[in-house]
Amino acid sequence: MTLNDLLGCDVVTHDGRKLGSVIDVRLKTAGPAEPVQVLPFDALLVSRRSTGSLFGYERRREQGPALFAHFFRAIHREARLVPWSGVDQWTPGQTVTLKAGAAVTPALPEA
Amino acid sequence: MKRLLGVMLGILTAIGGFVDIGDLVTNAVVGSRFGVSLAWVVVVGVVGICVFAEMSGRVAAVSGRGTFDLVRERLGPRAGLLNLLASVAVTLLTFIAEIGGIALALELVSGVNYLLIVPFAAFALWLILWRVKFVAMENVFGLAGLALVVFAVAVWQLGPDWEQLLHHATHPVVPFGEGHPTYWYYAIALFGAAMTPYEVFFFSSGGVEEKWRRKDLIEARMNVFLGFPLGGTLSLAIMTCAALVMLPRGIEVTTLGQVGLPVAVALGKIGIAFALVGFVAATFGAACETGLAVGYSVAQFYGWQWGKYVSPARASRFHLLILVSTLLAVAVLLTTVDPIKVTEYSVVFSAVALPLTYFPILVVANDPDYMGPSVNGRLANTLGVVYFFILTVAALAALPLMLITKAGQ
Amino acid sequence: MSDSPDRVPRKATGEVSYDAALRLLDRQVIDSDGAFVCNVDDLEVDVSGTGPPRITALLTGPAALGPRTGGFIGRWMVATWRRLAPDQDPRPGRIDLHLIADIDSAIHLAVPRRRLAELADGDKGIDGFEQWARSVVIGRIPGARHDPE
Repeated sequence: MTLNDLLGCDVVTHDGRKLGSVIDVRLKTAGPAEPVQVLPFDALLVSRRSTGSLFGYERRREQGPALFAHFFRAIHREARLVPWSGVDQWTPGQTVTLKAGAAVTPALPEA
Repeated sequence: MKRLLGVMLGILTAIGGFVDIGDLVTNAVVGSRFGVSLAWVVVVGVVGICVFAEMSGRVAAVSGRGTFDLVRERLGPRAGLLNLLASVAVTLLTFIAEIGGIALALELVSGVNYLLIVPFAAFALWLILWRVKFVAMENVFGLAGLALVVFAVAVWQLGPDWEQLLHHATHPVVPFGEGHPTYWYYAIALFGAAMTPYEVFFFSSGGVEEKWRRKDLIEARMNVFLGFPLGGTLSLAIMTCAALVMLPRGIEVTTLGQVGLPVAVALGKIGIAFALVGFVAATFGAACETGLAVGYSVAQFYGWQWGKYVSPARASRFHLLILVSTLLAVAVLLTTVDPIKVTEYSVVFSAVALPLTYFPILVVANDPDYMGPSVNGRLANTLGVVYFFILTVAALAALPLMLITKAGQ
Repeated sequence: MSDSPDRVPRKATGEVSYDAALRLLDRQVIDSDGAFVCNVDDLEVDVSGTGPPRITALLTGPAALGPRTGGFIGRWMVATWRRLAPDQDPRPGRIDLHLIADIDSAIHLAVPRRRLAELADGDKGIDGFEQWARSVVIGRIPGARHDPE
């Protein structure tokens, strides 16, 4: 199994509504002083679009140039963060199904 | 004192190394048909290359990595691969044009048909890329390229009406006999010649080759902000020479010899000698840079070891790529395609490829994970964004204009 | 390279989480001597056991990059590679996560390249093309091992 089997998967709520597709996975590290051993999945980044998803603009406020930041944040306004604990089932290469009541929060730090 | 000499050497090398076959041909062609009415494009282009060269140099000094590394990271494997293919295609086209340029320059020197020279020039080029130290290569061709100053001397010697010249440059008018689409087509060609994508790949990878660190940034910036504009004035000198000598006589520039004609008129044999040295140095230097740029781009995209700072055995794929590219260039040139025509196409396609190259640089130069505190300031970002719009417009307009004007007829 | 550029070390930024695609995928992997090893073409995910899936290794090579590139080009890449290297195990090159020393704009390993080859135990996934290029073409040209320093 590789990360490629997760990226791009459709993300569907428990009642069948499509939230978007997986554009990235937030990994938890043991802490800055710890060596890298394993990196467990912490949360999924979900968006309806995939353009600009590697630019980092939708995750960080301060990154310039200002015009690009505004543009990419605008098209990724709907990006959502879902904790892995909210995932019910993952069919690699296809779909991620969420549990009922999964906590879905906006990915951007603040609107 | 030694530091000062080093800085001066860097600036002089940047001046002499600025002009390549694209600049030689395009500026002369434009001068002979449009006078100095397109001089403003060279100015715009030079400022643009300064902005992006500084950015890519800063990225190299701070992160220790070259440009194409970032392209793949930012665009992902699929868009990144398409970007790579387009960039390599354009750089290869330029590489072929430069080797053709070397052969044409040596033909002027020796009288031997350029086709016979191509294999030897390519072999010499490959040998230099195989063995000669990076810094030595840069310095020799850069300093020898200063011989192109003879074009500035020729302008002086031709004694033009400076007021009139300045007026024509600052109040551009499409000359009688040329259409507006052709004017803008050549504006884009000049822009592509000034802002060649390979220059940025080369400059940033060269920074890694020379092991730049933050403390070298000041020197790198002086090379860029003093060297490139002065190099740009050489381009303008070539254009002005053609405007003064060829335009009134209605002579069109179609050969490398005609590029040097104004110097012969103004300064005679001694002028021609300098011009020829300048031609050979400029084309040879640029051929080295484009050849390396092809290797840098592909190697950085795939994560291979690259560079002349390690032994070839340690960067085998990189050197294999350069070898194959050189053989390919020879094969193409031996089909007797006109190197001047290849040059004209290479500068226009360079303009088309510009947004692909500059967008990732602009993004990474702003990324604090990469740059730490050395991210772009407001000036760099403002200029970067403005230029990004300009070059996107130029890139989009290039191919339609090429079709409309039948490549500038 | 003996001295490395002024990097922004992860420890200094105090990061506690990574976005995998943003910070790990497609990054350059650099060994402990500063030599470039490969690019991170994909990441190995371990779904066994309880708890969330875990990234356990970096993956590299056409077998990893092909599927990520996707589509016709991706499939063509993998097919060509398999045809050219029939003796190679069609698995991607693998670098265990515990070999990583630091992550900034690149991924820095704690070991030199040759140690990776030892660990890979004959698996040429990481360096196959380089070794081929060296043995078949570049190594045979005089001066190939000349150190420019």
